[in-house]
Amino acid sequence: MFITPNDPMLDSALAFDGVKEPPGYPEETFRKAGRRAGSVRLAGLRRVFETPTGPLTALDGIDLGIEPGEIFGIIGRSGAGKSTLIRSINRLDRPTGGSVLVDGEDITNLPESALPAVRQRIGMVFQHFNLLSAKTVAENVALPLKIAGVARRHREAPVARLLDLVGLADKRDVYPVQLSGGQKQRVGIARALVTDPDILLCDEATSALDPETMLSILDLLKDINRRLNLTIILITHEMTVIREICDRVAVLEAGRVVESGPVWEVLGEPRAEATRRLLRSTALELPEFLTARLKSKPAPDRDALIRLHYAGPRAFDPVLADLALELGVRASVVHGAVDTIQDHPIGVLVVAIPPDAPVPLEETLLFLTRKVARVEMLGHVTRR
Amino acid sequence: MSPVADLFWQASVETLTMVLISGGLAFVGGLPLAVILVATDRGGIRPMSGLNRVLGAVINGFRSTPFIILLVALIPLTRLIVGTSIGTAAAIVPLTIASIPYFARIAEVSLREVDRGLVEAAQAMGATRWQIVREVLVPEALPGIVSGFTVTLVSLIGASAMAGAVGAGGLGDLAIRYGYQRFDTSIMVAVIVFLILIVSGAQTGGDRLSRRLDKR
Repeated sequence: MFITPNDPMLDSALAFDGVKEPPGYPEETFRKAGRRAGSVRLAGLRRVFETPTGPLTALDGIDLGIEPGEIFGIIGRSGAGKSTLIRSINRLDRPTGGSVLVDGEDITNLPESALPAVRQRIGMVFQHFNLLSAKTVAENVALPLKIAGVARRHREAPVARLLDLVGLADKRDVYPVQLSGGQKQRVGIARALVTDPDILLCDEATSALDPETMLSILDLLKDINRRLNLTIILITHEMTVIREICDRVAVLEAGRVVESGPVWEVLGEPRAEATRRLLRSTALELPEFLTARLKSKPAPDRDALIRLHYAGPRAFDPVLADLALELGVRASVVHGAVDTIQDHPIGVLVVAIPPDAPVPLEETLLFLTRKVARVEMLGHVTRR
Repeated sequence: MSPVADLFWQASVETLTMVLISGGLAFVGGLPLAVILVATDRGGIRPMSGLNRVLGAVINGFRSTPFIILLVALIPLTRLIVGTSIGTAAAIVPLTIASIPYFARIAEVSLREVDRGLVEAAQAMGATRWQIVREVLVPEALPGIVSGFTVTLVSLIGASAMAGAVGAGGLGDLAIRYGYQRFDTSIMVAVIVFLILIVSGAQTGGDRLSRRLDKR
């Protein structure tokens, strides 16, 4: 799934869209042959803020390893510590404990003077784009190069190349105010990539965008990740972002990682309560007419309502047919949806078990538990 | 040229000299002060609460002293710098010293309004503090700074009339000596009309420049 340094895929990833290095272009600002994507190790990361009302623990011992070339998502509710976490990776925030290793280099306590060099290897994209209003699109994209001390004549080529990459070559001389939100974020992405970083940090990069624009930006990020062999670390509160582009995800809750792993696993079989809560917004909601009639107690005229969660290869198992054949229980499908995450099918099915089933409800539940990822007892509804 | 027109011309030149030179010095001195005020404040790019407080107190001290008093109080300093305390050149010293903190406070407001996110973006690029000031803070605040400078210039025109009190000449001096003390109403009216023209000219020019710079 990931491109490793020895992978033959690496060469093609480095070819960078067939763009040839222009003559006389300074080598150090171009993606060097054999250059690998960046890695990040967080060990026991802690951050305590001193507030007037006492110390506030934002990060409470975070251990994470982010591999070269992957898209790693960090999801959590607001206040979970996401912002502090992502800002510790380029030292916009200084941790109070633990360590941050970027490409093996410990940056936790680097002096202020050593930070520019580290930060120039790490691009960052922001929720509110943070483009300079007084500079044109091209000037905005060129700014990181200017800051890095690249001479004006050497800035033009990479700026043109990046604007091309994000599809905004025709907007180079307009000011940000004339751009749409999606275009602004494209400029933000071009700006973050112009110094050819190993790692791209995305701070809620799509949260200020409408759903359609969000998807186009996510596509762009995915594309960049593959073409440039770039490690992307993003924080978000939206499951859709994780589901669309991330390889792995960590769920953050009150400054701790409560769950992490490949996205299809975490989303398909969420173990932590926090993950389920975050999933609930995207999970299948029961239709109104059912929730209105939902009762907690069983009765002879009430069907039992059960939500089944499928994940992975078992999503294709004929669970309901088996239920009918093996136990003689004829469940009816009330509601359902099937989705695909990273080519793994994920399904949710709400079924009604009749009160006059040949076996007790407990047995049916036990049977289903063995067959699907998760079984949720919703309640009982009166038959119409 | 008639003697009156001659007087008028000379007074105008003196007023403009005082305003433009002390205005220019106020810009050169006030902008760095404003940057220091914003940068050293809590949450700034180089928090230094001690320096910030001392600087703020000094600025407030100058700002709360009425100009006519400052004018007299600064006479020893003026003598030290210009060699005399009478004349246009001598008036430039108190005018400059009064307008530096005035402009610094106005520019400070504009600098403070620059989105914190823009500073953070520059930091994430690896910008040094100086680069943040030069590439982000000042350019982004420039429309407001220009507007603030216009206000400073206009209030300098007013203050320069008071400088007539130390024999600085200028339009204010003309209006008092001829218009008031000699009851020459036509000169008084002419000075007022001319001052209105200068002020509206400065204001219109400043507004236009500020609008041109504002790309938001």
